[in-house]
Amino acid sequence: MGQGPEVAPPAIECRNLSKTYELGATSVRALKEVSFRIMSGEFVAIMGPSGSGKSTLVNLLGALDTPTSGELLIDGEAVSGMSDDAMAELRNRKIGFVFQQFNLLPRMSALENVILPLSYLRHSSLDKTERACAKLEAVGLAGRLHHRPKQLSGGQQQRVAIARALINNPRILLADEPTGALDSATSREIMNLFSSLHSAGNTVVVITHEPEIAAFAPRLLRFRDGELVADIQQETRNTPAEGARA
Amino acid sequence: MTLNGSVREAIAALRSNTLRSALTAIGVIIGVAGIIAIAAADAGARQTVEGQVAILGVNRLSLGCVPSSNSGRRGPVVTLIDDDAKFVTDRVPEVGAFNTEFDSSATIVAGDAAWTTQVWGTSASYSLTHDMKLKEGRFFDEDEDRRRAKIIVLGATVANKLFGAESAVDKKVRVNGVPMRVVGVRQSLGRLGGEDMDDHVFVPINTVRTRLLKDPLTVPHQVNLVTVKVASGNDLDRVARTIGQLIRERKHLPESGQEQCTVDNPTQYVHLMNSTHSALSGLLAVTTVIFLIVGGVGITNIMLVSVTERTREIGLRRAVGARRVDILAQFLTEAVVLCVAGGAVGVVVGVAAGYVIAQSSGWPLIIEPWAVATAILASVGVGVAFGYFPARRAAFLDPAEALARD
Repeated sequence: MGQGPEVAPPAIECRNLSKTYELGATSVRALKEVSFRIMSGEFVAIMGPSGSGKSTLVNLLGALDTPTSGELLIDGEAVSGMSDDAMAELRNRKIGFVFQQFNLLPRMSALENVILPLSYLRHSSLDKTERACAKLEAVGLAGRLHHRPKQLSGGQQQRVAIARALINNPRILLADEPTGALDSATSREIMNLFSSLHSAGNTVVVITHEPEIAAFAPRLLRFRDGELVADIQQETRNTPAEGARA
Repeated sequence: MTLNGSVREAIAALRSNTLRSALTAIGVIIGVAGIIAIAAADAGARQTVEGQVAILGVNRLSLGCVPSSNSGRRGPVVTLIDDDAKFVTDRVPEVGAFNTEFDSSATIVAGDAAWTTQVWGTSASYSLTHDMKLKEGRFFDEDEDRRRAKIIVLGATVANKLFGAESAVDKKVRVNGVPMRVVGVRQSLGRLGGEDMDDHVFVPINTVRTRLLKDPLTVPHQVNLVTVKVASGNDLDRVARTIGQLIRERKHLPESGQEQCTVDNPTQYVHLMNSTHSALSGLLAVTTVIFLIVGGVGITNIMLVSVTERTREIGLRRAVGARRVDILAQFLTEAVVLCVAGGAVGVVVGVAAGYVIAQSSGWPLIIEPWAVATAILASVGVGVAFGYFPARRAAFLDPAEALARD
């Protein structure tokens, strides 16, 4: 990412962000007038119990959904009022998703899974395979290029998913409960990987309900009942021993 | 995503559930096979019919009288003679040429070989009325007929049976013991409805009536059949009615009742057969379309199942940047690839079926390129038409909801 003389816009900026779901006769306010900003290069954990509005926030931050009111800017671009196609393009270029269930396509090899977002990139002439190989190497899976997801452990699958999230050099790495399906040792490995990616300059946002996971991030946003209740700078427990280059 | 990539992904997706894909494609396979087989049968039959019409001749009418048969009072025996033919043709200006015919049968011997066949005693004008083509030699002329010359023209089958590959011209044969000289061999006509059209010989009609019959004729100038060639451009049915009327008047036969003398257009049976065949083809074509529609509904059904099963995949693809149109294209491609694969199998099955039909009916196997093109286009059309609804449903799934689905 070019660090020009002009100040880069915040990676994420929310102003009075609200989301209301209409469920039949009743309406549920999942997110109430939330405002915060995440600067480029930050590592932020978003925490809260279930029902706190975490999932709603992930969908909004990932440009998968539009807010009912308020403003959301991703890398300076206003998501409200964007067309469906423009949102797809925004997701493609600026957001790297990591999911709890990995969401790898079972028919494809690790390499093909990592390349997938590039196939939706229009007007590109880059060597997709070469770049995907580099990303897989960066997450420590150089020797697993042609394995199917089934042939990989949970931790390895999540590494493939992280490589896929990194393939377009996104502005934001958005991880929704990335360790929810992993044992604690593997969870630590994955969180250490996120820490190294942060150290390498990536903006990382991890959504979790586990305090041990949130503890890896220097900044913590706490949610409860759809409201931001705490914005804390904290000591991290990360041990970026195994270096990762992104 | 490139078309090439989409097709490869579609194939991979379909192969991950090979049995289901194959079962789903059966409707399309049968529909396409039907198109190919019907087109092949149609083309084969059409070529055969054209051949039959050519053999039976265009613009030709034949007049024959038979003793009135079975029920009711027996009328007088009506016998056609040479003068009747002349009488009719003199009065019908549309008639160009005519010939008289008296048929018999005989055993023909040449050296050690013998062959029993039909002897067609005709006037020399047969070569005109029937546009006869000779493989070798010549036909006889009027003078030879008048002189009751002992000459013979062989059908291709007879020439082959008696002389094999050798030239038959100027060879001596015995016809029912009467020595005759071969002057020509007719070009082969092939088969018509399974019947050998070359198993006969031509002898001048006067030679047959005076030399080949065991019992002399009660009416010396008796004729079995009169064939007239009508100048082209005339209404054959109207000419036939005129001739029928003339002969009834001359023979004092009643207007209606049992027709003793009839005028036939020999190609009318072929045309009748042909129209029956066309009706059958039409019915089969409708059946084929029904199969394609049923097959298409099967495609819609299985694609809906596929969309439901792959909701998370759709959500994931949307999350990493697929637009709605990309998802639409993906599932549409899958439906089309499935249909085209079914169509390809259908073409093979259809050609095989066409071959079996051709073999069993004695038709040539004709696979026309337009039939194959139509079949492939039809399968693409079915894929697009019946894959669109499920593909659209996939494209309009809410990405966030799709990702949250189990």
